[in-house]
Amino acid sequence: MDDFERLLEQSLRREAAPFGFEQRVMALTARRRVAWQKWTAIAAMAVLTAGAGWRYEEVRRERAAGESAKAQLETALRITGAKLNKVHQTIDSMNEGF
Amino acid sequence: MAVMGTTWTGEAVAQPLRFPELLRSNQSMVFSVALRFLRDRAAAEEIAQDVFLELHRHLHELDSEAHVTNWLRKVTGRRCIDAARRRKLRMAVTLDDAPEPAAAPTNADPLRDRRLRQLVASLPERARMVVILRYQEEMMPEEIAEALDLPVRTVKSQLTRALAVLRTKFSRLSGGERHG
Repeated sequence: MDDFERLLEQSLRREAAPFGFEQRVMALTARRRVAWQKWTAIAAMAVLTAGAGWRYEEVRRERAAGESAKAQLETALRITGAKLNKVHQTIDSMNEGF
Repeated sequence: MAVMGTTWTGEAVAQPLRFPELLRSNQSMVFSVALRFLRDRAAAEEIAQDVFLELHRHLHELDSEAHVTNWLRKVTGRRCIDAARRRKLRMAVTLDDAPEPAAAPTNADPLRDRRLRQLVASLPERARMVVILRYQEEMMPEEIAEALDLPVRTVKSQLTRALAVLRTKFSRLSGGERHG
């Protein structure tokens, strides 16, 4: 290294960071951590809400299917009952003839 | 994310890298590289803050203090070059802008130091960063090449060319002082 390079080295020597720089960076990292935690909580809430909504919808659909099956069964039983009544009546009327 | 320490028995154990200590020990380096490059204290502080916030995010990927220092030099160098290009912050420092000297150069001469920094600031971005990393951080051309993602040959030629330019301008200035 010659004299000029030594002058260059001297002129480019390090300088202290501004007063309070360290504290400002630490405050920013803390703020970022809080923001990250907040967003994590929001994301977790969103996932839970979506999960609960999906489960509610599934139960509602199952219940609706059950209700529909029950109604169909009731209709079938009613029709069957009516048919049986008719058969009974026919048999009764035939018996009355003898 | 660990450095080696020793227990009271002399056994080597891994210790986690601690961000506050890394910030404390490297803040002057990061700030100075940015300041010498941008010649703007506010912009240098902003870059330095961003660099440390990025370090905070990536700390888990780094495994030693030396690794952290190299990483910081690399990120600071790239961010400074990007910032200068983006904001067109390249200082158009010409010899005419340099103030007139009050006295002839001596061993400790703030005016001469300032003038040299102005001359460095007049270099193109990449050459400027190469000179700063070489003479402020005392990095070898191989280390600079790694930090800036450049071939070693390019770093060496930029350094040689930049030094020649700086020498010429500085001697012209010094000659002007003596004869003017």
